[in-house]
Formats: sequence, structure tokens, C-alpha cells
Amino acid sequence: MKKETLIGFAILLAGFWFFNSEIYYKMIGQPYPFNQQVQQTQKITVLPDTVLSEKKSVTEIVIKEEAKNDSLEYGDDSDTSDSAEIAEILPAKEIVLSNDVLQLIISEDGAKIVSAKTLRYFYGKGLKKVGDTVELISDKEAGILTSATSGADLSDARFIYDEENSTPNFAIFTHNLNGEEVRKTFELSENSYYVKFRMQSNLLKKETSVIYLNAGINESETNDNRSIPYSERYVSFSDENHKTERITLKKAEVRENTGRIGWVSLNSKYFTFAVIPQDQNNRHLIITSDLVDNTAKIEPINFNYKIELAKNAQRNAENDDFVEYSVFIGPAKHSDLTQAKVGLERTLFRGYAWFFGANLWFPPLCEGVLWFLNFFGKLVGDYGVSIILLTLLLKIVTYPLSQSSMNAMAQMQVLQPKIQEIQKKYKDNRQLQQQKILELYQSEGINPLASLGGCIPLLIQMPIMIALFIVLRKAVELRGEITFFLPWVHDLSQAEILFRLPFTIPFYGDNFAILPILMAGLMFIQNKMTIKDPNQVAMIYMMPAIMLVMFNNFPSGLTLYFTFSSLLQIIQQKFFTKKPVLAAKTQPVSVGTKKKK
Amino acid sequence: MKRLKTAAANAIYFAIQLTKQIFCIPSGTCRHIPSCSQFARTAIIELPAHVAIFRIIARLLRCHPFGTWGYDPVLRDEKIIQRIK
Repeated sequence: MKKETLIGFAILLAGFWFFNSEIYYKMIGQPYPFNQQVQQTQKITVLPDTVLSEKKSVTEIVIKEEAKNDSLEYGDDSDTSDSAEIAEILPAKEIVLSNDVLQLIISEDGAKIVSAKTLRYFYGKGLKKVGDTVELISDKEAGILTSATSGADLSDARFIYDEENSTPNFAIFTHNLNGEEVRKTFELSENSYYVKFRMQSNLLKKETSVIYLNAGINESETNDNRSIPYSERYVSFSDENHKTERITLKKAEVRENTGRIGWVSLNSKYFTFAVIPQDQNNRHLIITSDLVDNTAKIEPINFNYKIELAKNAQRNAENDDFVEYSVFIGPAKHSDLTQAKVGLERTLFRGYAWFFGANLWFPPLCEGVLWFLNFFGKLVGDYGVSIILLTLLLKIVTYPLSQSSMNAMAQMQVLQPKIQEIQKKYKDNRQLQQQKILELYQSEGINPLASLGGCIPLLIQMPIMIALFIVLRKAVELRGEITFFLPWVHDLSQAEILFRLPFTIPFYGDNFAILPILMAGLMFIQNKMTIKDPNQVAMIYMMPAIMLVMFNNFPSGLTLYFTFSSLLQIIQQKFFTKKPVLAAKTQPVSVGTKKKK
Repeated sequence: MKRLKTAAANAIYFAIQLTKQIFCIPSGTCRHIPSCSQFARTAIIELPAHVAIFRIIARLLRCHPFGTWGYDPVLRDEKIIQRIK
């Protein structure tokens, strides 16, 4: 290996280190994403109060009720006032609404959802029943779908569960506000993550109605999942022009939007809350960011969001005494999100607008890749096979291009000594030199069009590969998927961990994995077969090594793709590439398929 | 200066090689000789930096199914050769 080669390699490494180092992140003013045990550095400033109007009278009620609750909890030794009232008020009941995919617990306090569990998804190792079912509500006290009307915040007001008219799928709650009944109903249909939410009251004819999603969404993954530092929660909404806006706030702040809101959603890595208004009226949307952990660093990953959606009373709408919302609570599965037919699936695969307008072309591409993976995943019942089929398909599509390139290259390589000869001979006359080279090509029967490829196979494969990378990380369909032929890989959407090393190797990490080693091995063989140039010998060893380090922390599904791709490449090189016909008569060097030692 | 150039050239060379490796472009499917990575390395060493960058980009843009092909060295222009001499 040459000294220059080594220096270049060192510079590349240094660059790689630098752009991953804390120094660089400090320079660009971004939080350093790789350090998880960062101590508290800043404290959050006080968030502005986002409740629509004054809530003096209500706070009083709330305090009273809290006192009552407390005294009930702690039994007789309460010394709060109004013991007569305490006897009247029973502890708030919690009503369970469930179908076969979703279980909601609704508290009589404020008639809010205090717990939402997805019965098909589990904590820990993906879909396998290792832990409990995933709980989506982050803050039980705050809950979601609390409401306010006529200036009164009903977040903690006591509703009464109407047991007679309710069914296991349908719950009615009523509350008496200033002599008017406020009725909230929740309806859950079979096999669906959509909850039909309705608030009805004569007050709504004249007064503003507000609903809140104050609880924030829970993170479903543990810190074990290596993509967690990069998957912050975000809010999306569809505005008047059906344009989707994706919002991640970098500090504690408030965003507002007024107009016709198609839907608004709060998303974590895999799960979504979405509220879809069922009427066409204008609404006022307020999004507030909120720190999850006050002691941790302020960075996008540490933010949860509160959503507030207000609707003013409509003029000349005497019969308009209710607001209705369809509320999605569940995994951000493409097929489920499309059910609402309002473009809720646009929450997925966004947020790359900085990259060549990727918000336009990238989501369809990801959806295409996801569709393919799902189609074969369901057909075969194994996403690993699905990934391999995708690799195969890509290879077949790019086959004419890559094969013609490989054939032409093999022939050109044979001619290279002759070309260099011509180059030396006609050193001073470029035109003659080119002419002679062309003549040579013609006499050897190389067709310029034979080499179709160029960068085209790259241009086809690159977006699909990036899409696959994102899909594997973000699509809930692949969460916890395993494959039968790699029994030691516990999750295709995460980095493979065969066992943990007692120490951390820089860049490589502390997980030992087999698949990346297999991939590097195959790449080594592939490089050994194709690289003939003596100046490039270092590449044969270096590139697989770099790839090994890089891919050790990538989703194992992606590594599987690359491993299989290299295997196919070797097969193509070995069995499909034509041996250069002119090898014998021009130069006695072995090129193309034969390995030269 | 020359060392710096060599180092920069090698860094670019590795970056291109890595891209090719990541996107499964086996060396052996190039339309041109020398391949773009070698072209870039030579260009950085032999030419002034701004010219080199321009030439590398131009070369990458030539690499498509209807582009040029075949022998395409850095020092193909007599003027450039003379200037360097």
C-alpha cells in the first residue's frame, strides 16, 4: 500500500470522525445526538398558557374536586372541608372500551381517555409477546380528548357515565355545566383504530368548543433501539389547501394555524394519534411543545406535543349543537391510515424537504417499497424473503444495463495496454490520438452503445436503497419482524446483536453481528473478482472493512439486502459476463471472469 | 502543497469508491477509462483545484447512457498539458 493511499484513507476517517463528533455539533449549534447520558444543562422556560379563555371559576371546581379525591383516597383522616359533599361524590369510575385491536380506558374525570393500549403490539422485542402491550398515552393525568366549552375547561370536571345506554363499544358521558348538559360519546368499531368522538350540548350553538390532546404520545421503543435518537415525535396537519405540514419544534414554543384543518396528528416513531374533524368548518389549531424530561437536554427527541383544536360556534346554525371527530389511535400503518381517506398517510416518510424536494418524490417511493415488502411479506409470511425478492427484482430490472456495462468494461480492459501505447505514441496530437483509439475500438468490434449503463444503475438503485433504509426504520409493519433463515436476528428493523462486547469499539459499537461480516466477506470476493488495476488493490481490502463497520449499526434488513445483492453480483460476474472475445488475439492478460493471482 | 493535493485527491478517491461500494456498483461497470474515481484523483493532483473540481463534475455528468464513453483521460487537452509543462 502506498503512503499517499494511507494518508487519504486517514483523512477520510478523520472527516468521518469529525462529522460525528461533539465538536462539529457544537459548531453547527445542534444537539449532539450520540450521547444519551447527557446531564441537565438548561431549564425550560415557562410555557404560555394555551387555554382559550379565562378559567378562574373552573380552577376552583378543579381544586375542590381534587381535594375530594384525595380525601377519598386517604380515607377518614382527611381534614378538608365539606364532608357532606364528599359522601355524595363517588370516586371517578374508569370505563374500559375495547375491540380486538385497541383498548381504551376512559375516566369519568373529564371524560378523557387516560389509557390507550394497542393489543397487537408489545413492548420489547417487537411483535413477540415479550413485554406488555404498548401504552400510547404518556401522561395519564392529562389524558386525551379532554374538552372545554363556553370558557370552562372540562379537563377535570366530573362527568357521569351513562351505563344504561352504553355498550362495550359505545360509551356516553354527561356533565352538567351551568344548567346545560354536555354529552360526550366515544364509539369504537370492530377491528378499527378509529374512535368516533362526539360532543353534544346546547352550549355549542353559541359557544366555542375546544378539544385537547394534552397527554402526549408515549415512546414505544426502548433505548436499545438504535434509531431512537433520530426519531423524534412530530406533529403533522393538513391545512386549507390540503398541504401537509410537518412540525418538529426545537425549543419550547407554540405554533398556531387557523383555517380548515383536514386533520392533525401527533406521531412517535411507530404510533399516531390523529384527529379528523367531521365537518368543513374553520378551526383554530394550537400546537405546544413540551419537554418530556426536564432534567435531560433540550433537543427534538426530548419533546412531546400538546394539541388544541378549537371550533367557533357557527352563525345561523341553530341545529348545530355538536362537534364530531374521528380519532385515530394506533400504529402508523399505511393501510390503516389510508382508511380515513383524508390523506392521513401523508404523516409518513416526510421531513426530508431539504433534500431535493424529497417530500414530493420520496414518500411515494417509500410507499412503493413498503407495498412491495408487504405484498410478499403477507404472501410468504416472512419479511426476510420479501427483502430478498426485492433485491432480486432490482437486479433483474437493472440487469440489461449493468450487464452491458460489465461486458463492455471487460473488453475495454483488454484493450487498455494498446490504448496506452497509442496515447504514448501520439502524445502531442490529441485529435489523432482519439481517432486512433476509435479506430482501434472499431477494429475490435466494440460498440459504443454496448455500454449502456454508466451511472444509471446507480441512479435507479440509490433512491430505492435510501427508501428501504427509511422504510425499515420507520414502518411499523416491519417492527419486530423476523425471518426463518436468520434465526439469530431478532428484529429486521434493528441492528443485529448476537452478543454484546464488554467494550465499545469506536464506530463499530458494542454489538457483535454475523450478517455484516458475511456481507463484508462477499464484498471482498466481489472486489477481488472485479478490481484488476494494481493501483486499486487497497480497495479490495479497505472497502469491505469500512462497510463492515458502517453496517454493524444499520437495520439487519438492510444488511440482508446488501449481502444478497453482493451474492447476486458475484453470480452475475462469474456466470453471465461474456469472456472478452478478443482476449486471445490482442493481449495474453486474463481479465473479466478469470481471477488473476 | 503537493502533499496536501495528494491527500485531498486520495480522500476524494476513497469517497467515490465508498459510494460505488455502497450502491453496489462493482468496479467494472464504468463507461470510461480511467474510471471516475481515478479521474478525480489525477485531476486533483495535476490541475489547479477549481479546474479539477469543474472537470470532475463535468466527467460525472458525462456518465449516462447517451454520454461519452471509452478512453477519457484527464490530460486530454493539449493546452492543459502545455500549461502544466
